[in-house]
Parts: sequence; structure tokens; C-alpha cells
Amino acid sequence: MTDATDTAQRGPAAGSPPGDAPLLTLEALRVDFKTDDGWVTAVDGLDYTLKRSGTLGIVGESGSGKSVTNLAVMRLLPPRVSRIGGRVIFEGRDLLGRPESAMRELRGGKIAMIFQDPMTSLNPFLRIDVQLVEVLRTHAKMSKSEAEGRALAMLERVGIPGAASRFRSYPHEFSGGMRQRVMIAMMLLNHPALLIADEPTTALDVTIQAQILELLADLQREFHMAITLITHDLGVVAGMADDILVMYSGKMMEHASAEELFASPAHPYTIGLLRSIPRPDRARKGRLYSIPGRPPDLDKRPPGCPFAPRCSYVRDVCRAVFPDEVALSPTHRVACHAHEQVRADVLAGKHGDLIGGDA
Amino acid sequence: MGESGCGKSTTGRGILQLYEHGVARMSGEVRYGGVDLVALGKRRDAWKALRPYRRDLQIIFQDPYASLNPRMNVGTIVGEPLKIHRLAKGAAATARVSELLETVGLSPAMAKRYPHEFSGGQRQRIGIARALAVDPKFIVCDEPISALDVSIQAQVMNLMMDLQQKLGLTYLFIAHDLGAVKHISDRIAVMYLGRIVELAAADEVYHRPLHPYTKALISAVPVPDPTAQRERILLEGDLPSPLKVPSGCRFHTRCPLAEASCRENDPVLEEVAPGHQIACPVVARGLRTSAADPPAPPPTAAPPAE
Repeated sequence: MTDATDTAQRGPAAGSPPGDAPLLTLEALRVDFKTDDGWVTAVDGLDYTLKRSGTLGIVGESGSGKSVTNLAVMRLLPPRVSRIGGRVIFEGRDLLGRPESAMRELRGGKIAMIFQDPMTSLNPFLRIDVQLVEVLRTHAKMSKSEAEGRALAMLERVGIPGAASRFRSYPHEFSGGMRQRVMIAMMLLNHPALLIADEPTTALDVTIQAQILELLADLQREFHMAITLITHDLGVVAGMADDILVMYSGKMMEHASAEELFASPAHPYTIGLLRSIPRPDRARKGRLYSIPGRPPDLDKRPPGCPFAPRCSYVRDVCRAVFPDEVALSPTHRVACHAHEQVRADVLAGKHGDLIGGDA
Repeated sequence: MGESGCGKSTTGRGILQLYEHGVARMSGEVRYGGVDLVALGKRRDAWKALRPYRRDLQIIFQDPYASLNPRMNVGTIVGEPLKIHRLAKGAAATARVSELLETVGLSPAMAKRYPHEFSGGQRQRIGIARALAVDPKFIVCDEPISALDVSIQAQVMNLMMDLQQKLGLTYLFIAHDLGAVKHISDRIAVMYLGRIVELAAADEVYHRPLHPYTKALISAVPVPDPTAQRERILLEGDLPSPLKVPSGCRFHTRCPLAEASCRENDPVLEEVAPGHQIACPVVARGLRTSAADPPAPPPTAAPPAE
């Protein structure tokens, strides 16, 4: 077993060394969906880059486009009812122009994805040994016994107790947390350069969530992989991400290093999110700060900034024109007409402690 | 609060006698105003015996999608309890429904619409209006905000706190989110595998957790602050299956403090500081021996009477 574990750990070193060129670059990504009432835009003009071995957190509420963005990166959206525009450059090549066969090579190979519910990705009718071996042998020529050895080593690596005796079990025989570990093992088998984790711990209990996040961080160091972590939980990204991208109604609102985003947010929506989280470490029982209203339906998005109807900084221009992106530092950009006022207010302490502030 | 499978929702529903006898077995007592609801629930005419109490004791569910009948309009949904309890009919009922919708921040004109026309947060408001229809005194709130988006959670929490103040309600707030539980609660009971392991004032549970499970639970909660340096207590393994509950203390299989005796003796809640109860003899013993130390208050002499 030690041999196989070693192989698993040596694997990535043979791959491309971490360099300065971004691993993934999105340029003006746009995703539209066909509905009964015509086309609606789910993601609109999104740009970002992800470094090798870096972690990008994408935060947003349901309907913000955070999951759709990554399904577009993987080219997993149904072509007949969706349209993808812009560029998705992975290791120097635009994925949007690649043939389906090349994408199939990438998925589960250099790019892996884990979902909130591992049961959506594991086949309930197949034993996990069969599923793991298939992932290996789809991407590389190897004997069944070699594949089994590697699969088992990976299950051990992700912390499945008694992996050898549970190797030939079905997915339903594992608990939610263990299933997520199986899923992670499966996705790491081919040493991906990029792991897209879509709400990987949302369905898990907090103590199990802590275990899985710790595991992901360890594996990231060990395998030198970049992670895109999609979540609605600012607590989770605060602990994991280097950079955080805040999305609202298909648009980027703010993108900053984790430190900058939490210490000096410049978008009213980011501030609203931060302030509305109840913080257990504060002795308060007053009203919580809350953002009035709710996100717009995709087909009823107002012109201009989609957040304008809920925004306390709203100006006339916000209702007409979506703001240009402004760089506040090399690692901090924001799309808000009022960002100067917002920054001044944050500095002046008008938003209190920011996180979990009073109403 | 507690993790899935700890029995927190079952407790809430058990209090309300929502389980059918024959499918579930209940023992013990749930005293409400001097009456044992469990005994009433066991009677053959339980539905009738419990009806007056159903007015006082209401529930709000986690999933606003599953707890509203998609074929009823909102007016019918919110008005149904009025009909069942014969509190109002005709124009009076319509007026009461309008009043209830306004109370929860919805427009009375929405009474004609159907659940699918509403967002998650609005649906939760409809569920709250329905619970309020019969002027309850006590509401079991079973994960009322877990299914909602972050910006909507705060709105619903604020509504619940406003209503509590205005109507003098008592809540049993069930959730796994420590931030929300601590914000709304006066006291918190932490559950593990069907048992309360710690019960104390909300601040006390957060700032001075004593039970090893509570400590691990609190340390596992992600804090929205990238500069926070925290000591995480990672629990080993998974929650055991409720079909195979461990002997003795149910937490001993994952407990960092477990001793041999923990495998045999099932601990009971004991008061280790005023108003602070834990079910852990190991910690309780430690507190007694270090009673001289300022941070650890002396254990109270006598446990509260049953």
C-alpha cells in the first residue's frame, strides 16, 4: 500500500510545475438560457483569472450565476438551450472552441468538479471500486489491478477508515461526509490542475464540514491544484480562499483578496452580505442588518446595476448604466458608481464592525 | 442546536404530538400549563383532546416549498387554521387574513396568489402568517431560515424577533447554525444523538462551552474573518447511527476526554454552574477539583429537583 500512496503523492510533481502564467482566464464570459419567453442572461461579462495552486472563492446567492459560470467552464451546459460567449482560457487554450472529445479528456482529468450532493455524481448502482477504476482507466492506459491499487491508496489518503474493507461497497453504504470523501478521491485520481468545488460542504454538518475543508486544504498543498470554491457561506471562503469574487444577478460586483474584501469592501452588496451574518462571538440581541427586497428574476433584471433597487447608495445613473469596473489595488476591483462614497463610509466606521453589525 | 440526526426536530415535533402513535413511541412528559400533552396524545380521541392546545402551540417548517399546499391560494392557506378552529368565517376571516399578511410584511392583495408565485423568503412569511392565525403562545421554529439566501435570512430573523416582542411569543428555535441560534435565543440546548449534552444561557454556551462536544461544535463553525486564527478541534469520524447508539455516553466514540467509565455509564445532566448544565461527569469532576481557581465557578450543592 505504501508504494501506491507514494505514486499518488509523486504524481503531480511530474506534471507542469507551478508557473506565473494563470491557469484559467475568463474573458467576458456570457451565458444565456433559452426559456419559453425567449433568451435570458444568467452570466453577463465575467472576467477573472486563477493562478496555479491558488484558491478563488465565488460568493453569491441563488441565481447569481456562480454555478452556471463553472458549468460553462466545464462546458457542461446543454447546448440546445444555452449559449456561451466570451473566452475560457485554460492552460493557454480557449475551451469554448475545443471539440467535445478534448473536453471529455479534460473533465475528470485536468479539471475536476465536486458538487454539493455527492450522490448526483456517484452512480448508485455501481460499487465505488468500479467507479474509481473507470475514472483512472478512461484517462490513462493501466491494468485493472494497478488502477485498483491507486484508487484504494487515494481512498486511504482522503481519510476513509478501513478503506480496503469498504472498497467494494455501494455509495449508499457511506454517510454524507464519507461520500463526499469518496467523491473527492475520485476527482483527485488524475491529479487535476483545477478543482471546481460547488458548495462542497453545504449539505454537511459543521463538524464534518470542518473535516472536509481541512482535507481539501491539505490535498491542495500536496497536489498543487487550484481550487474554485463556490459557496454562499462567507465563513467558509474566509478560511479557504486567496481571492473572493462576489456575484449578483450574473454580474461581478466585487473581486478582491480575502483580506481586502473583509477589511475594506467597496461594494454596497458586499457590505450588506457581511453585515447581515449573525456573529456568534458578539454579545448582541438586536435587529440584524438586512438588505431590503430580493434579487431580481433573470427575465426581469432592471437596466443599469441589478442591485440598484435594493441599494442604499443608489443614484440616478445606477438605474441607467451598469458601472465600469474600477481597480482599487492590483488585487481589488469593484463595479459600483458609488464606490468612493462607500469606501469613505467604511473608513469612517459608518458600517460599524462590518461583520454582523447592528441594524 | 445540533447536527443532523441529533433529534432536535424530533423533539420539536414530539412536543407538539405530531407523531402518530403506532409509528412512534413516546414516553415521559411534556407539561404545558399543567397538562401532560404526551398523555393526551396517547388517548384514543387524541385529535380532539389536543385540539385546544393546537391553538396555543404552532410550528414553522424549514422548507417553505414543501410546507405550503401548491393548490391552495395564500388566502386559503393562511385562513385554514381559522376555519379549523372556528375562529372566524366570511368577511371576518378575510379581514383577519389581510391583517396577518400585513403583520408578516406581505400585501393583503397577495391572498389571491399561489405559493409558486413567491420567493423562498416570502413563502416563509406565509408559513409564519399561518402559524400566527390562531394567536399561538408557543411556536416551534424548525430550521426556519436554513433554506433561505443570506440576505433573506436576516430579514426573516428580524421579522421573527419583532413578532416575538409584539405578540409575546415563546419560541423553540431549532437550527444547526450557531450564529442564528445564538442571536435569537436566551438559552441554548446542545443535542447529540438524541440527548441534551449541554444547556445554558446563549452567551455562556458560546463563550464558556464545557461539554467536549459543544467545544468541538463551536470551534468548527467557520468565522467570516480571514485574519482569525483559531484552534479547531476536529472530531474524528462520523456521527454513529441512531440504530446503533454507543453504550454509556453516546459521545464516547469521538470524545477526546473519554475514559473507560464513559463506555459504561450513561451520563445525566448536572448543574455545574448557576444555570449551566452538562452531561459529562469527566468535565464536572474537573470543575469540582479546580473549584478554587477563579475561572471555574463552584458547582452548586444540590441538583435541581426533578
